[in-house]
Amino acid sequence: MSPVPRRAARRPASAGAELPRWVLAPAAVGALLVLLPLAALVLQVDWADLPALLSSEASRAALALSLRTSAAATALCVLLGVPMALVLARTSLPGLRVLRSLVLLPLVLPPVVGGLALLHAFGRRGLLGGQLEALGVSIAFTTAAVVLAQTFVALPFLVVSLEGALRTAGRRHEEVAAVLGAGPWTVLRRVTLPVVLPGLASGVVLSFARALGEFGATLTFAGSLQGTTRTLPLEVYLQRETDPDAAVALALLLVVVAAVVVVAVRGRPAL
Amino acid sequence: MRTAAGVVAVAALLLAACGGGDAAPPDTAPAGATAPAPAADGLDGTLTVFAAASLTEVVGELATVMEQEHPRLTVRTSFAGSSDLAAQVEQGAPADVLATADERTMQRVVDAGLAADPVPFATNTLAVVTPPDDPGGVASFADLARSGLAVVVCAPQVPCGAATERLEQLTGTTLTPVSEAGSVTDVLGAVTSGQADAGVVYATDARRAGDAVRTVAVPAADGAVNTYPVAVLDDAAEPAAARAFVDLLTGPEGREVLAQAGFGAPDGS
Amino acid sequence: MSACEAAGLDLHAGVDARDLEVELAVAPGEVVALLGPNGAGKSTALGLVAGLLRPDRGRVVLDGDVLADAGDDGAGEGGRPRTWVPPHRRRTALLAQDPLLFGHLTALENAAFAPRARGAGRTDARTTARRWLDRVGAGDLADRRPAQLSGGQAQRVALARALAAEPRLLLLDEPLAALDVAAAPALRQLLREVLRAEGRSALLVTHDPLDVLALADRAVVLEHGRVVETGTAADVLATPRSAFAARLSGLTVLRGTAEAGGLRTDDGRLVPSRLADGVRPGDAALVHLAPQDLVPAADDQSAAVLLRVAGLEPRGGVVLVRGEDADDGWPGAVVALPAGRAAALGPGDRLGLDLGAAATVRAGAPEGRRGGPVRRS
Repeated sequence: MSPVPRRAARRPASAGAELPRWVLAPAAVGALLVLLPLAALVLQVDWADLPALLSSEASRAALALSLRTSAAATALCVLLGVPMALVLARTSLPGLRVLRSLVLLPLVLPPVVGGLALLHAFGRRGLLGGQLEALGVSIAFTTAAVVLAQTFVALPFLVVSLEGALRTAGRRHEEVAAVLGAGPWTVLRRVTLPVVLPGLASGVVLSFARALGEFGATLTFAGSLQGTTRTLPLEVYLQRETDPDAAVALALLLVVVAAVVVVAVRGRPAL
Repeated sequence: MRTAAGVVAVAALLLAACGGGDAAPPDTAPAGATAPAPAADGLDGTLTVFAAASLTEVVGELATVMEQEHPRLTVRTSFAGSSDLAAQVEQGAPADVLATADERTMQRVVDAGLAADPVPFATNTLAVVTPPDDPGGVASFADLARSGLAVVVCAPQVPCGAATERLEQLTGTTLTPVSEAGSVTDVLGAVTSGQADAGVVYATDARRAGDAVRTVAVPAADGAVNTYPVAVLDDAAEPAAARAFVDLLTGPEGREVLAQAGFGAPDGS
Repeated sequence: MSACEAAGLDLHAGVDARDLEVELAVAPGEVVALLGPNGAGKSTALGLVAGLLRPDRGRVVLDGDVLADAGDDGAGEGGRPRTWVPPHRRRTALLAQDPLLFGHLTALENAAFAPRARGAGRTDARTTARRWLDRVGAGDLADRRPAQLSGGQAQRVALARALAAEPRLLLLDEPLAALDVAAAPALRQLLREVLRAEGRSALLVTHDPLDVLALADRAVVLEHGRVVETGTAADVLATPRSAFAARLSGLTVLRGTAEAGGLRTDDGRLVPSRLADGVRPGDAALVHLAPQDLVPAADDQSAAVLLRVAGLEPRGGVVLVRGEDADDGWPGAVVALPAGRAAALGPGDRLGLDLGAAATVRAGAPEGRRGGPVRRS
């Protein structure tokens, strides 16, 4: 095709503010950088054996554990994260800005560091470990430790999503509702939460995904035992040692879940 | 022209990263500085040694010895789990020498036609470690089977876990660990942090941990020995230097360094 | 004087962060327009009444109930404890420029919100809501979501929602400002019916003189957080005594000192006029002139007004020539000229003006509060 009709076919909207063309090249390279490894992983999948690889006892145990713990962690995130987001977005207590930065720290913290921190807080010899032990509660090497580690890393996602939604929504609907006679609890239940529901939903999906992918903190803090603490990512890591095909199959499963999450958050496939 | 050159540069960088990325050893670094002195024996260039993580100290020390003896030679080392190293070699990582923590992993590389005639150069046995204050009161390997004791071992999929399983069979002990870690480092970490009451690790790791752990000797462990093989890779860029390094590792000087670290001598020597 | 026992609104409060010191009252059944430039503190004053903002000083009293009392110095007055009634117990209702309907509820559910919040059962609340939707002409929209409503429809539903709260005082914050020219008159008419026919008390923030004339009994002008003028709605627009009201009215306001022959403006020109009752020579005084009261002067030197042209607006057969604002923000003089006479003028040109033969004017006292009605004759 000659350049002239191609130019004519271009959308008129792009005529006003065109990018320098060279931008396309690094952009394409960047896209490749992300897509190539994923494509390589998919190409590596042994499709014939996939059902067998995914249905092995170890795989099923890991998947079931991952789903169970991630769901529990997400529930915990909602229970704790919604009030946190409300406090951060709707109050002006002193020191709130510092608190916000600290609470969001797990977002950028290397997961292993998170695991170490949890260990020193809730581990048997940690800050609270002694008291917990005295109460007959031992978190170390239990499924509860996995949930705790997942909540630790996933909570900021929920708080950030919801706080952003709360700030975007603003307070004006809440103010109108209050003036109309709704008390604080009614405003929260009938106005605030319904208005930020999409933000809450994307926060829930993101924190579930983050919990599902949690690796470092779980490994450091919870250990690795089939059916108890060995979640899907830990299983992938271990299978890699002996059965790379099984590792790839499980990795594919995680990629699929991640893709579903991304689509769910963005509302529709980005096409 | 300038933008085109920039694009080419970026693309080239990325291609280089892509081409070598999955194969390049994760933490490859020169083990020592090179002194510009005339070579006495013609050994020069850069020698790359891939070694199991448990060999970190030993191979590091021997690399320094090698560079002192051959001033024009640079020795780069890369330490990781044996399986990781084998996988990297299979993917074409530019290594000259490979030393693994078990024969099974080395066999994978030999079967792939990438190395021939591996030489066993050391053995490692298992030891039980506990926190220094021994909260669980562990006196023997059999004690680990006691209920209520938090025991961490390696997963059967990795060499130290396979050895632990053999030791269980040998002693007729059935462990119910609270965690099966993917590496011996994770086991040691669980014990030193006091999370676990006891763990099963290599004797060399127990020795390296020093005062951070209390070591319980396991006499039966001699029956569950891991043998460490080393081989010059067929695609070695510096085959002469590679052979010299293997000779150093299997010779008297290597023997001494290995013994200091707690390794045993292989059956054949 | 006991404000507590008086019916209606008595607001007398200060907010330091907004530099607001406001004092105004709304009698029962009265609609008071709150006027002023952007940032003058109008919405802040509404917020004080609605309970969205705490005063640093003063009190808010509605129908004898003290809604907020911070004392005169912010520390409580006469030993009384500081009083604070939260917004949901004040029984006011707010209708803003943006309808702010709850997007997840239907129009009917929106209108039923206040009755539900006050504890009415679902059925009762819906009956009330339907009645108010019908009252504002939005009965057929009951099942629609806010996203399916036009701006005018949404504002009707929002009005129904506010009225269903049975407020003691309706707070209207530029309720027509966001509507297009087609929808605004109908809703203004609706508001007029609802407010006037039913004798409701309301505080109305607006920028539109039409709203003031159609809806308000009285007007209060705020500038820089202070009340600068109060009066009946008609008076404030006919004889404005603040820069903002002058601009809103579209009149030319000349300021100066009363003399026997009229008004001596600050630049030394004499504007011939009769003095109003109570204005004596030497008093500060104002003269209000409509655009058609002024004609081009033969001689700029002796002209009553010398304006520097800021803008020209064609209006039918004439052109409104607008003078530059004074340094203190008061609007410049406005004169209506035949199109042919205005054609030669451009921004920056000087134009001398005299009072037309037909114009008879009075100088009025310039202070913001009117002792009695002072009208242009």
